Amino acid sequence: MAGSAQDAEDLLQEVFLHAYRKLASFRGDSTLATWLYRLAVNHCLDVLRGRQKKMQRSTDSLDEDGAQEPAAAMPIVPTAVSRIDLDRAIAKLPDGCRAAFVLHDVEGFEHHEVASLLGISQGTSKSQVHKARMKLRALLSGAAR
Amino acid sequence: MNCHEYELELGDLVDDTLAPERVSAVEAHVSTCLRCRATVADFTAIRAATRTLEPQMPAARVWTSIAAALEQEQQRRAADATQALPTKWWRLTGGALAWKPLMAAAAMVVVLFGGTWLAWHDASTRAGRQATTTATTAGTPSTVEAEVQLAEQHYSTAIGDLEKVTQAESGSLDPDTAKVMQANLAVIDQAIGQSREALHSEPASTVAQESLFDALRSKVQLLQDTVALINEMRKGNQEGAARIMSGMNQ
Repeated sequence: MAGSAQDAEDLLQEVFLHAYRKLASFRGDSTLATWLYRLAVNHCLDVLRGRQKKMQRSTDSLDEDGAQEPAAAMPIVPTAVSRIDLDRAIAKLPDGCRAAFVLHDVEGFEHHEVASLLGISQGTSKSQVHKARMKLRALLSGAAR
Repeated sequence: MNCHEYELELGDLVDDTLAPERVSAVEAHVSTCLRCRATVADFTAIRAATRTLEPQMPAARVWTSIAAALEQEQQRRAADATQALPTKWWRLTGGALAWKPLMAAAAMVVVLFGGTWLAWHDASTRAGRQATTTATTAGTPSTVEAEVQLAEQHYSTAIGDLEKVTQAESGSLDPDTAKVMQANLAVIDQAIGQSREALHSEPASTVAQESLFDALRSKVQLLQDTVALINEMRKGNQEGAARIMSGMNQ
């Protein structure tokens, strides 16, 4: 979600400190893992929002930065995508839709869970994941060339 | 329906989360639409690729850095907690705790406070002859004496309140730890006594004034830490007690 390993490391440290400071507020309504996960996601999103000013703007920018749906009548993504290419492509996703995509496609959350974690509607979660996939499609087809 | 209307449902089809009543319609469209079929094939390839991604583990140095940051946070909290005293929170009850590791840390306090006193003692002796000059620049003797007396009175009040608490609750401390604390207080009291003597003979000496206030502050600090320590030990919170001792050692 952070977009780079260095940012992820910085965020990891911030999340642990944040969790340490807020540990007293953990009431046991959920498991500690769920609480920590939510805390981490929220903190990451706060940082991403600060970076992008507005998450919506970053999502909308998908359509503005050449990520339009490729008008392909044939599959353009190689059947065997290398991990390196995939990592690079995910890192290039705008922050907003990357968060939804990572939570849904990589972490395996359902759309209603993604929606809850990100504070968006289920429809928006679907829309963002779709946009991320379309953007990845374009990026990975380019990487294959 | 055109392709745009099926757009989001293509993802559901790939995820196998499409509403049952929509499956046949979407599959029928995909079977006749080359563009949507290509999109589904690519989405499937992307989804398959993401499944192969493994969790990225941070480097070992990151954990070291996090541990250091948490340690700093603990120390900051301990310092903040000590600053917040005195309040009524020490009245929380809990079981008494014998906590031997405190002894090593308590011994450090003796060294720290002893060192402070020795440093003051040397400085006071050296600076004694300069007292008259200092008094000239610091203000009139009567004004200085009044200010010193007022400040000392504030410290004495705080110390008296804290001593009442520590004496009433001293049974919660491990006897060996209590003994070390008493020894520490004796060292500080000795420094206070000598500072007062120096100040009495040379009321305008800023060195003597600062030494007295340093010693008084040290006593307040030690008593506050002792109260906090008593509370943590009564609660059986070894971690909290360790944090306090860590703060005392700084």
